Amino acid sequence: MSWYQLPATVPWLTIAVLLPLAGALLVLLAPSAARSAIKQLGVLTTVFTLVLVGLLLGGFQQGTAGLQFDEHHSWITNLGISYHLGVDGLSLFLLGLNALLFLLALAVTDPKMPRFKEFVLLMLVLEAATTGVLVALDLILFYVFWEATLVPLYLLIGAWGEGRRIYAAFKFLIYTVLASFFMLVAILALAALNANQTGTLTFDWSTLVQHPVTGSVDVLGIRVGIQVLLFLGFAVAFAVKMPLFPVHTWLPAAYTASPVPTLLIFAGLISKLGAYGFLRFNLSLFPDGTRSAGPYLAGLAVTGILYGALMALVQSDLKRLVAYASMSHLGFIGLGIFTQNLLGVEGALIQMINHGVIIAALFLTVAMIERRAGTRDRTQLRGLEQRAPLFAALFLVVSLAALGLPGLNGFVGEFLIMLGAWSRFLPLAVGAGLGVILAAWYVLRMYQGAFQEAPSQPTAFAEARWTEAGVLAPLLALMVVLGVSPAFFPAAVQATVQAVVSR
Amino acid sequence: MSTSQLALLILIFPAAGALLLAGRGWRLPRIVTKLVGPGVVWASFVVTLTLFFNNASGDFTYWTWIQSGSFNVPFNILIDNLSIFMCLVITGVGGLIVTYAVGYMDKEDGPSYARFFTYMDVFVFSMLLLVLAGNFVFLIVGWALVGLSSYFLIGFWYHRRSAVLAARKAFVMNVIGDVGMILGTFVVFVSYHATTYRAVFKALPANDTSSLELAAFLLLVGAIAKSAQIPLHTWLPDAMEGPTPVSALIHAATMVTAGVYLVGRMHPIYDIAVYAHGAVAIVGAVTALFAATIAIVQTDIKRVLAYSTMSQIGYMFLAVGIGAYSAGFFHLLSHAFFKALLFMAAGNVIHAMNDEQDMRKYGGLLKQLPRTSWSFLIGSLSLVGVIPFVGFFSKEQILGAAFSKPDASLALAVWAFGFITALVTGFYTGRMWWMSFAGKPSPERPVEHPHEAPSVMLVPVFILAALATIGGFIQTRALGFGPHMVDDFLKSAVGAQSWEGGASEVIASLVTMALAAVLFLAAYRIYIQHAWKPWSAVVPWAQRLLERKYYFDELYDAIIVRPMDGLARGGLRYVEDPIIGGIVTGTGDLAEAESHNLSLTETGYFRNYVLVFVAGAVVVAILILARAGS
Repeated sequence: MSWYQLPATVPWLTIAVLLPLAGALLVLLAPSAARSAIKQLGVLTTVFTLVLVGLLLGGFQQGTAGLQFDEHHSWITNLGISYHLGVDGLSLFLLGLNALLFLLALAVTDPKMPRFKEFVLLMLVLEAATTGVLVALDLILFYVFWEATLVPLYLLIGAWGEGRRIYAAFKFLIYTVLASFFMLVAILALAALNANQTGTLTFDWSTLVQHPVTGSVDVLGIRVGIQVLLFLGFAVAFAVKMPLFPVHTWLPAAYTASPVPTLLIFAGLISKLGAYGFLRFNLSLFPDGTRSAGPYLAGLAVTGILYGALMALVQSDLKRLVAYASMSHLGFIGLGIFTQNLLGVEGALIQMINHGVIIAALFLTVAMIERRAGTRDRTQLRGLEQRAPLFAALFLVVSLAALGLPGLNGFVGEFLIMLGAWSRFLPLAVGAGLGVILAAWYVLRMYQGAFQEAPSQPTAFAEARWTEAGVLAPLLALMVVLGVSPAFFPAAVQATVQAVVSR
Repeated sequence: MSTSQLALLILIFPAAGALLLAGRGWRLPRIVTKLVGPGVVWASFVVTLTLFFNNASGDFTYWTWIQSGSFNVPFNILIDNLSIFMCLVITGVGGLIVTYAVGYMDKEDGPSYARFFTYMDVFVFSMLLLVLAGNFVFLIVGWALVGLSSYFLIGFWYHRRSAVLAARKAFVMNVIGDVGMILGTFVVFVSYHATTYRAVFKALPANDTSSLELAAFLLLVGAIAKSAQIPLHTWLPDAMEGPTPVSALIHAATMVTAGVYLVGRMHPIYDIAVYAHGAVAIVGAVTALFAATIAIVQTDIKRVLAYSTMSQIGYMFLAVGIGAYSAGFFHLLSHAFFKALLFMAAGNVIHAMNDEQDMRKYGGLLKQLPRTSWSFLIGSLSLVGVIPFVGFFSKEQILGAAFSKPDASLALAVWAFGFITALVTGFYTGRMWWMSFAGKPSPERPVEHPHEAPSVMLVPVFILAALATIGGFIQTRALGFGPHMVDDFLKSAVGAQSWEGGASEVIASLVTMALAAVLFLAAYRIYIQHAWKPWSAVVPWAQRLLERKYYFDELYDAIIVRPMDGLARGGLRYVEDPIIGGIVTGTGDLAEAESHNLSLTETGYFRNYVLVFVAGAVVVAILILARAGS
């Protein structure tokens, strides 16, 4: 079932990857001084990409598990590497989130910033890379896109960031590059093992998924399933990217240092790529490995929920507070993934979108506060509601979504994840419930600290402007729609998720 | 219109009112707020009355909220006599209270005024959703939205730090309850594969099982949090920071009775899960006495009423806990009348006293505020349980049911608690009324010549006073004869009480009433005539214990709040900060010192890392390939 049929001959996904690159090329050709032209170019490019992705969302066939908008061309035949792009329930809505967040990020980019042209250029390159990560179905191709996201991110944080930006960017880079090598090793090993079993060397996901590797090896005298080893190789890369506790330590520095537009992508999307990787590769390729190692990662995820929540409780810097809140929420996604059942994984998928929407909105509003008040220290802000009630209302809705209020989107994902966890890891579900309570605590402390009580000194604090409300509007709309009527989401992804969890 | 459309309309009116006031309220003329705010609640009341007179019932599904595998949650509304009963209370008493607020909140400026009625309408909407929801998930949605609106209203005067803190406390405690409900719903779903009441109740086992007990206990956590029962009660007294109409609407008449509704709605579960059911009765009995004793020493008139509310809800828990469901709901109705009356009359006093809430600074108001004083007396006598006021019939029906339940030592034990509570209630109510209205004006009184409230605040009070006076005659079962309209009406939804009382029950009731009345009068001797030594002079340690509310706040601070805070701070200082700084800081700092330009390749350390790891990766890959190939 779909709303309409898109012509199959058009390479839709290739276009989706190339569109931002084309925009980047135009930006490159533009003179640096033409700031408003560059801005329009950047925004238009992301609008076109969003429209294209919207077309794909509507043309997606619901109720089938297989890949859609498939593009398969041989590339390096000798090595079994191919150019394979496709979309299924795992990546569908993330593509939409990706396109939406890039549009918002470019919309809030200030054309007066130094080296604006290069900034827009890198953002568009980043969009091409993240889109590629989401649609690539050849493991080598995926790896290339995966690593390709790093360079623009590193430069964006290092050159346009704030505070200890170089330190933060470098730390992030070290972490992720190191972690990615484990994945590379695992990819190579997987292909080799598969070649042994089947006689053909291939890095194609859809082939590998049909021939799960078996067997076990001795590691330091202990017999370990090969699936477990390969699982761990991929898991390191994805756990760092998400990040899962305890490999999250690059996060506070990197989030705090990021310039706002980059931060929207970084927190809203890049973290989801890690979660997506778990679903696409770990759960799909190594179902047995997941069954053995998953419970430990689920435990780490819940630890992360509680740890992030506790850290959020004691932060006074709003940006850092949201960074830890983000980590806590990512724990829910991790928990959902490793339940390895329908409800948990669907909940994780919904929560991935929710998290992107909520965290982006939180960071946006924090940035708006900082721009007005000159500080984002919770203890120095007070009573802003009196000066800017509309702004306060916007921030409140975002906060409520963040603490998982039923009726808004955060609840849907958390509910499904906890329900999925309840039947597999009961104590972990209870731990997650504790995380929900802590979230109410730190989120309200954040909202009340900044907006309520009597203002400390007569500072000017401007009311929300239409442009700001306009940027937040799509995010707020998603919070309400996904909260009130989320049925369309599982309807679209269920077939794929069912196939993943029943492997 | 069909019943399903009418049912939806009950929800739509307050939602639309809230949206209108939230969106445009501060720009529209004040009169619009005055009309829309209470108007939408009355509109819902009229619709509910229509359903009531049509004997409507049914289970209506509007859309699928989510469906995934066997997990199917529709948005459905359940119309039966219980939900209609609750809607009547919410919109009827609620309508009176919101109307009263038109006058009470008149001091607020335009935006604040509109904001207040937005919150009130949001609350009414949420509460109606809670009682109309036909499945566990939307019950939770209503449940949480009610907690949210309570948060809004408690923190309405957000420039006051105490209000902000009270609001947060209420919200977090309510979230504890929400999580209990969510987990309870999980147990229900995992055991019975359904989320709608109808399907779940049909699938219940005939005999008690451990999972059913677990579900019932987890749901009870939600009920306890929302209804401010021990041990999740500490938010309610603090919630008196909200404006007085809020206290009347949320913290007396409707929201805090949600726990009673929950147990009643889930009665098929509690009828089987006997341990959880017993726990309901015990929690109620203990809270009833516990809260009543604290009320003795309160000096803030609203806090006396707050503790009295906890205590009276304890009675309702007690009733539904022993299976006397309709008695519990009769008391819910009766309490909504007289407690809303007491709060609003107290509001009139506070209004006249320039927002002073300390009863010690009142005195002698009877002559100056006669209408409010006499109304307050009607509410007080109803609270004490004096014939013929409504409180007598409802409370004594509960006590009678507990007294006469055959072969139930638990029922007799909770009766004893209820009996003592009734006496304590007589005393603290007497103290409150005499101190405020009798005797001579206090020298510290802020207003020498107070004025009665405007009629928009007096008329709702009079209506409730009338209801508190004659309302009891719809059900006089406590006397052993006469009509029992509430029981009859609710029979189809919560079943009939399975046992009948006898003459001894009626005698016990009359004795209880007589003793409570005596204590009501004794308060006059102590606090006005000073004829007897106050009890606090005799047992000062008890006075201290009660003034500190049995040290619950201190206890929670010591065992939860501070350890949690310490854990978080310790974690930050000894774990997070060192790790963040530690492991890669060395390299990071060097990198920072070395490279201030942004070329990747010039970052020497980075290149080294890459080299080392490429080499490592290749070695590992070769090893694995070799082994796999062998």
